[in-house]
This record gives sequence, structure tokens and C-alpha cells, in this order.
Amino acid sequence: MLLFPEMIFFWTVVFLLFSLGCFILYKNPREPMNQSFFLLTISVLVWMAVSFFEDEAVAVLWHFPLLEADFAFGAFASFCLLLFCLDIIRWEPAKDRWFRGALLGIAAMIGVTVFSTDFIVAGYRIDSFNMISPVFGIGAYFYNILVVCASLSGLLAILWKFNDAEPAEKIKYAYLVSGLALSVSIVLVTNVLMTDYINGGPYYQFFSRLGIFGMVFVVLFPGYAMIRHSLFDVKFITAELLSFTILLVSFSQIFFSVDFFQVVVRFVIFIISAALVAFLIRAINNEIDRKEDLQLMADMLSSTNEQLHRLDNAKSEFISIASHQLRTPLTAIKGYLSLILEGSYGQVPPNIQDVLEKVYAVNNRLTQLVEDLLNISRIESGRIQYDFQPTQIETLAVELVDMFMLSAREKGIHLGIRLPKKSLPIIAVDQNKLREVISNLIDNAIKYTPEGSVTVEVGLSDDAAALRIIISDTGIGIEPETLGRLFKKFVRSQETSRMVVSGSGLGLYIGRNFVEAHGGKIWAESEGHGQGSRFIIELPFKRPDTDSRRVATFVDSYKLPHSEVGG
Amino acid sequence: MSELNKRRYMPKILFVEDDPFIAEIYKKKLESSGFDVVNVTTGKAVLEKAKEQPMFDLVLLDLVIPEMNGMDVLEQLRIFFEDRRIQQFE
Repeated sequence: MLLFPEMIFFWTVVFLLFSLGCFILYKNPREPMNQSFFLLTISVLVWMAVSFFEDEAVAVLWHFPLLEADFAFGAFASFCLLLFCLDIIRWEPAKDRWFRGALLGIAAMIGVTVFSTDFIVAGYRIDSFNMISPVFGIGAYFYNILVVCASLSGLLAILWKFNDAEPAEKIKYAYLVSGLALSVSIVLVTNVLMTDYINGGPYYQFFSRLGIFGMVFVVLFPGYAMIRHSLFDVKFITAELLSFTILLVSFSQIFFSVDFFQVVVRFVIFIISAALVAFLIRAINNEIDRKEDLQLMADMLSSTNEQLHRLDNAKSEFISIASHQLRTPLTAIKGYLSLILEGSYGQVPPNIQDVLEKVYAVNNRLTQLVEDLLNISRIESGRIQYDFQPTQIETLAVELVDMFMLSAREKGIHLGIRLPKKSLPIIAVDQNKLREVISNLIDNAIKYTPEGSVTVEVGLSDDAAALRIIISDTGIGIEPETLGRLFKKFVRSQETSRMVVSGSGLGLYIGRNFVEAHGGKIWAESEGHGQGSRFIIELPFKRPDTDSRRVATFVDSYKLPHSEVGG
Repeated sequence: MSELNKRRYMPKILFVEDDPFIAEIYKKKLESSGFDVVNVTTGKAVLEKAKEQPMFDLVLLDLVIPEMNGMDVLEQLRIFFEDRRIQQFE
């Protein structure tokens, strides 16, 4: 007998399952998980349909084939479930085409055995409730064991991987397991525990089939999770599952109504709760969409960040290579010139000697320029490494002044040094960097002083919290408008362009960076044109914490195996 | 030791530098100062040459060289000459 509500329920479920399977396959046909899900949906669908029509079939001709199909597709569904479980936990061997083929092949072989032999199902009889019952063959136990093992091992695989899974994956597992649990418990309640009560009762057909229909949860739950696989919050899922359950209960109650009035009341209740659930689900979905957007942006951000890191490393690599490649030829030129000037290739005539010395000087200038540019690019990319060592500053100053004594004397300028009576406290500085800054300042002072003197003075700052190094000259001076810009890149005093001096204008910019890395200050003072100038460096005895931390991070993040190695 | 012997002894230097010009300059300079200089250009060659007899007195090692990083070469040398103390100058 055909019950009308059952038909509606049946076709609704068929339609739902079929569209769910197709939708998931359509979303990503190449993903093994989606493929096995599609297979699972179709096999459960066919199995359900077969079971349904088995009871409805009036024509005797159909009884046995439908019963056989019931067994065949039941087996197929359980193997599909196993495959799907293995795909969900991303078990590597399950991705192999041969493995998948073998697994489904076993299922197909069981099906063929069911249809073509009496091994599993030998025949059927009509039982006392006018239902079709199978007469089992000798292999029925074998069949049961295979089917139960397939379903159980899938479930065990999920449980086994559950703890190690990512939160998003866990949700998928939870859906699958709860769907399975729900189906199995329905089957247990309707087809095992309550059979005595149900059998022969008025709703026997409905209950006996509820177990079969219950199988849809195995498919519905994880299917839903796959569609909204980026669910993050377990609370959402709990809310959704709960509301669906309420809806389902309220829907099924309609069919248990005893009179028309009850049908109407229960139907209204169902409609109202459906509306509420729809509202709730929409609110939740909005929330999820927002979360997904956030996640998407976070993903983009992190990938961009990664890209930046790669670029950063490439840049650092480039600087390291460039510095080696640029320095090597310059060093070779310098080397050959030294050899020639020393007479290693024979006596050099005085006029040639003169020219070669100029070439030597120009080459030195080029070397310094390359060094400056490399320093700039290191500074700008935060790749300078500082090595702070306890230093007696007077020693360093004397050493530097000695170094320039010759060039000052050649130009006819007096180069002097003024040291404090009491020796200064030891200070931690990067000696090479500081040497570069001070020698650049002395070099500049000599360059821009046509006559008079250059003095280097070392002492304490006014509050005695810092070291002070002053390089003063009686040279061309600096215009007030230039003073502020002096320590920026590529800036030279207006006056200097009129003089025949060289300089890239990078030295002061580099110097400022070096001094600031020590937590210090550097500035220039001048009364104006022709009044000479003073360059002052102040280095605090206690470097500010923030600064040392900054330096430390640079060192940590840019430790490259062979950067900063000269040729 | 006689004066003659002293003059005859030329300390052997293994000079590792891949740039031919730089290598030539140093070779000329060091040879004029009385050293026996052998130049190699790759890290692998250093390890082969270093095992030759008589042994080198000094290895001048460029850190940026083809095939092997200078530091790796140094590490290998230390492993090979386990019994000898290798002094590192920078």
C-alpha cells in the first residue's frame, strides 16, 4: 500500500541527496573526497530507493531482484563510506587510483555475487506481516562481516585521526561521526529494540523504513559540513544541529497525528519553527561569511608577508653579491697600481708616476663611493650589523688624526687634537663604523678648508651623560638653509659645488645613521659663509634600550651565511 | 742553521682566490717578498692541494669562492688536519 506522506518524504530525501552529491562534486570534481562523497550519496540513494520499493512492489516479478539490489547496494554504500572516511582523514594510500579501484572493485564483486549466485541471498519469503524477508545463503555471514568491517573501519579511522586534526577538519569529522551515530541509533531503535512494539502496530511500515531513511544522515551531515567546511566555531554547529533536530521531530510528528485537527496544529508548529530555524541559520551563516572573509584576508596578508620576506632575502643576497662584484675589480685596479708605483714592473718615469698617483686617488674615490652606496642600501634595508666593543675614545681619535696628518700638511692646514685632562670613561661603540664617521668628517673639514686649521676635540657633553666629539674648521662654512638638510641623502653645501672637491654627499647621511644606531646625535653648526663649521657627535654612555633592541633584531633577522664578506 | 739554508727555505703559501687579477697581484707581491705561492680558485682544489706534500705553511682563503663557501673549506681542513692546530686569522 502506498502511503501518500511517505512518498513525499521519500522523494524529498531523494532530491535532497542527489542535489547534495552533485553540488559537492560540481564544486571540485578533482578532489578525491568530493568524488567519494558523490559515490556515497548515489549508493545510499539507490539503496534507499531499492529498500523503499521492495516494500511497495506489488508485482511478484520484482520481489527478488529488488531484494538482491538491496543487499548489493548496501554493501556498495558501506564501502563508499569507508573510502569517504579515508579521504576525509587524507590517508595517503587512499589517494592512489589503484587503491580506490580495488576497494570499489571488492564492493562491485559482492554486488555481482549477490545477483548471480545464491551464496549470499538464496531466495525470499513473505513473512507474517506481509513483508519480503530474505532467505540467506551460506555466505551471508561473510557478507555481514565485510559490510560491518568496512563501515566500522571507516569510523575507526576517523576516531584515530580526530585528535591530531586541525580545528576545521575536526568539525568535518564531528559531522560525519554524529551523522553516522544518528543513523545507527535510529536503525537500532526502530529496527532492533522496538521491533516487538512496532511489529504489527499501525505504523509498522513507517518505522521499519525509518531505519533506512535514517541512513540519509550519514550523507547529509558531512555533506553539509563540506559545503560550509570553513566553519570554525563548534557553537554554530551545535546550534544548527539542534535546530535541525527540532525541525525534524516537529516534521515527523505531523505523520503521527490522529486526526485532521492535529495535523493542522502540528503543521503550523512546524512552519513556525522552520521559519525560526531559517532565521537562526541565516544569522549564523552571515557570521560565518564574515569569518570567512576575515580568514581570506588573513590568508592573503600572510602570503603577501611571505612574498615580502622572499623579496627581502633576494635583496639582501643581491647586496652581498653586488658588494663582492663591485669591490673586486676596484681592488684589482688598486693592486696593479700599487705594484706599478712600487716599481714591481720596473722603473716608472716621474711624469707617468704623477699620472698613476692621480689614477690611484681617483680609484680610491670610486671605491669610497661604492662603499657609501652599499652602506646606504644596507642601511635602507636594515641590514647593517653592529658590533659594539668597549672603547677608549681618545685612542681612536688620536689614531684618526694621525691618519690625516699627511694630507693636512700637504694642503698647508694645521690639524690638531684636543684631549681632556682626565681620561674619558670607556664606551661601547662599533669601532669600524665610528671610525668611518669621524674620518669622513675630518676628511670633509680638510677638503672644505682652503686655509687655517682643523681641530678634533674629544670631551664630555654638558650634562656629562654623553661623549662628545667635535670636528671644527676655519673653512668655507655652511649656509643656515643648508644646515638642516645636511644629513639627508645626496645633499651638499651650496658652496661646495663651486669648489673643486669630490664627494657623493652620502657620507653625512651614512654617518647620521651610524651615530643614531649608537643612540647618539650628530649635527652641524656654522655662523655662515666663510665662518668655518663645527660638526658635533654625541654618544650617550648608556644606549637607550629601544635602540639596542632594534639593532639586535636586525642582527637576528639578517644573519646570512656569507653576506657582508668583502672580496 | 747556516745562512745558506735560511735563504733557501721559501715558505709555501696556498692562495685561494677566484679572481685571476687579484690572484696575480698577490702572487707577484708575495713572491717578491720570498714566498712560494700556489694559487687555486675553487674550494675543492684547496682540499686536494692541502693534502699534498710538502705541506703548505699558510693558506690564504677567500671566503666567497666557487663550489664551496670559504667557511666550509675551513671546516673541512680542520677535519682533515685533526692533529694539527689550525690558527685562523681574520
